[in-house]
Amino acid sequence: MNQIVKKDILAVLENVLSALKEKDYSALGELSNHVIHDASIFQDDDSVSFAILIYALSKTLQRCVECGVQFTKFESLLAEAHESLKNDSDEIYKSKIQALFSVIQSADDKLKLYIEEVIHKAKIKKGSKMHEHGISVARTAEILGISQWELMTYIGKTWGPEFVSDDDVKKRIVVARKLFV
Amino acid sequence: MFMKLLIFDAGPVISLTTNNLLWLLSPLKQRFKGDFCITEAVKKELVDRPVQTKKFKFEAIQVEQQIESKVLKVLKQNDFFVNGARLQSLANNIYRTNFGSVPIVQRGEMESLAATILLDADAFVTDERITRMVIEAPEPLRQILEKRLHAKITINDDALHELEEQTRHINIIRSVELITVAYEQGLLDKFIVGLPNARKELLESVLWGAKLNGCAVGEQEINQILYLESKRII
Repeated sequence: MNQIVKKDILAVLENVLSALKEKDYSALGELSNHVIHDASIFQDDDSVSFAILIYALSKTLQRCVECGVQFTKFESLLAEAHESLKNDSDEIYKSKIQALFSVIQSADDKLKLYIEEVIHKAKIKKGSKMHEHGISVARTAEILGISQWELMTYIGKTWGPEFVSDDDVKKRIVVARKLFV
Repeated sequence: MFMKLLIFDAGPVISLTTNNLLWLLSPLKQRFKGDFCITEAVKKELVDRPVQTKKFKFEAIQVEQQIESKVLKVLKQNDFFVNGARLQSLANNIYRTNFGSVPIVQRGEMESLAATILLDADAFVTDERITRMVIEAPEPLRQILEKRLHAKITINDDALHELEEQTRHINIIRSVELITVAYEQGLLDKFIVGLPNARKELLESVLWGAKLNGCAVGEQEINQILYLESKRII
């Protein structure tokens, strides 16, 4: 694993464990964005899957509260993931992340949350963040294994700022107009 | 005989389809008097993949219908693949952090750009902000990357100059420009209804539709287009 990614995942994992202790599940959604910088720069499986996992976890835990269901496995698995990463046991860390995804999926029956949909939405949300960071829609869709159709319709409703001058607008319309004379 | 060509990336076709405006391509093509083309990679993204899903299957069928009725022509794979790879390598090596280059574009969109260059097309139609900015405004894109990634970003001048050299003569338009021209040419007149300021409302509605479905156009730009169209001062 890339050492910078490892350092950042460790820092976020510590914050995630603190948030879980305080039962501040909504904080996880924001924490999942903290590795998006890495996901955008390195475009590696570790930071991408970690961002998706933490976002999906935040949705799952919020649903647990609504349904009055308790899941204790998350915290212990996250602590184990943290410990293994700290000890440079990357393969064990990866197996813990896989186990966390499995536990989230197993929560489906009790929570009626359509976990596949939660994970899919997590990919789209994190994809929109990566696009905000300057990665094209097509490239982002490729990294996350989602379609450009889904990403475009989501991004259209979220991101606005652009460097533009009035001249650009005029020039482009003039070009288009000449094509269809 | 010289043939006019427009090369479409996936984005504008997605924007038009999700706004129920894909039908505009046929009358626009008649006025263009040339071919509207997509590469095989773009067809894969527009039709082959979504037709396997439930969510965008009908949209994929609509695009396929445009292909079968020869409004959209699929370019057979040839040099675009090789040149697309070269353009992708250039674009993905322009922006550098201390840890290496930041890959910002994908092969498919660069194949469309390669087709635009190799076939000397009249324009490249793309709604992708990043592709457009790396060609037209590389420094503002560097600033966005630096701000968002919280990392020092430098530009690889060699890669940038080669990309600039290759893309120097291409025109880039978006779905919003196609929609604006369609509006100017009366193709949307059937939607002028009995509301106050019906023409302005119509244009505003379709431009915002394109934006909300992923065309990279800012609110300020939409307002600018509305102003220019109201005054017809261009």
